[in-house]
Amino acid sequence: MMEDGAIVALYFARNEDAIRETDQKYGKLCYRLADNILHNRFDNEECLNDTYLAVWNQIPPTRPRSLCAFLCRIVRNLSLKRYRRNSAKRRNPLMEASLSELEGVLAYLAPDALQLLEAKELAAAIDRFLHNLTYEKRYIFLRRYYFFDPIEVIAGRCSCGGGRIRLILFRLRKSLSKFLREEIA
Amino acid sequence: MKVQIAESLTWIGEDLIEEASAESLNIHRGKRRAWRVIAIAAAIMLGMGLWVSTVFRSCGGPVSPEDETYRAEEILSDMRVEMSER
Repeated sequence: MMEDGAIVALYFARNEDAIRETDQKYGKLCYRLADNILHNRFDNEECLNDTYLAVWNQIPPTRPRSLCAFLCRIVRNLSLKRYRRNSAKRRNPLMEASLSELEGVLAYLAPDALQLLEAKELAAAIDRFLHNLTYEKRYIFLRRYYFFDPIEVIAGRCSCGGGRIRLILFRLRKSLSKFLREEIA
Repeated sequence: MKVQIAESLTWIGEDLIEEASAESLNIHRGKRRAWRVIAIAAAIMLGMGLWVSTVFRSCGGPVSPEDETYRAEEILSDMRVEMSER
């Protein structure tokens, strides 16, 4: 498979092979991320196509440091936007469970404090929290709340039981909540 | 509200996203598990060895060669005393 730098160079050269190479290297990852959020084949494919279009329009002038992270951000953003637009009937129950867990972290914070925190500030605080964790815990947290993987899938990825993953996630949510309370105070 | 929280996570560092995009956790759990099994097996064998030696001692089983020599010398001196008395 082509190196990220070479794929970005194809984008800069306005060579359409860039999209084919991107799809070959990261198509599966992006599709799975969209599927974890939308859980609908048609929506997933639309989202993936919108992602490739967005990447084509943004590179150049943007030169991403990590093409993988750049793609994940776009596909996640587009999928969440579409998810928000979807009616309650079409919503994915697995995704709802994951979101409720995440919401629980902020339940302990005062509503005023939460309003003070902007999305990017919250992300920066979570970023600091994640950098203090071990690689394993960070991986589990992000697979669950960034890539929205079901517990069983994460257990398979980590070669351990679902119970262990649930316990680790429970502890992580608790410590994240404590960390955010201290950050705001 | 729920989706807003999830959206804010989109802006975490690129290094973190790239690290988590790996197919599986890059830790040699099998190797670690094998070492744990070896350590437990060694501890069990050591415990059994200690238990067996304790049982042998209490039954008067094999003793150390030094003890054996001491007992032989004791028997010989007793025999010498008996002979001299006769």
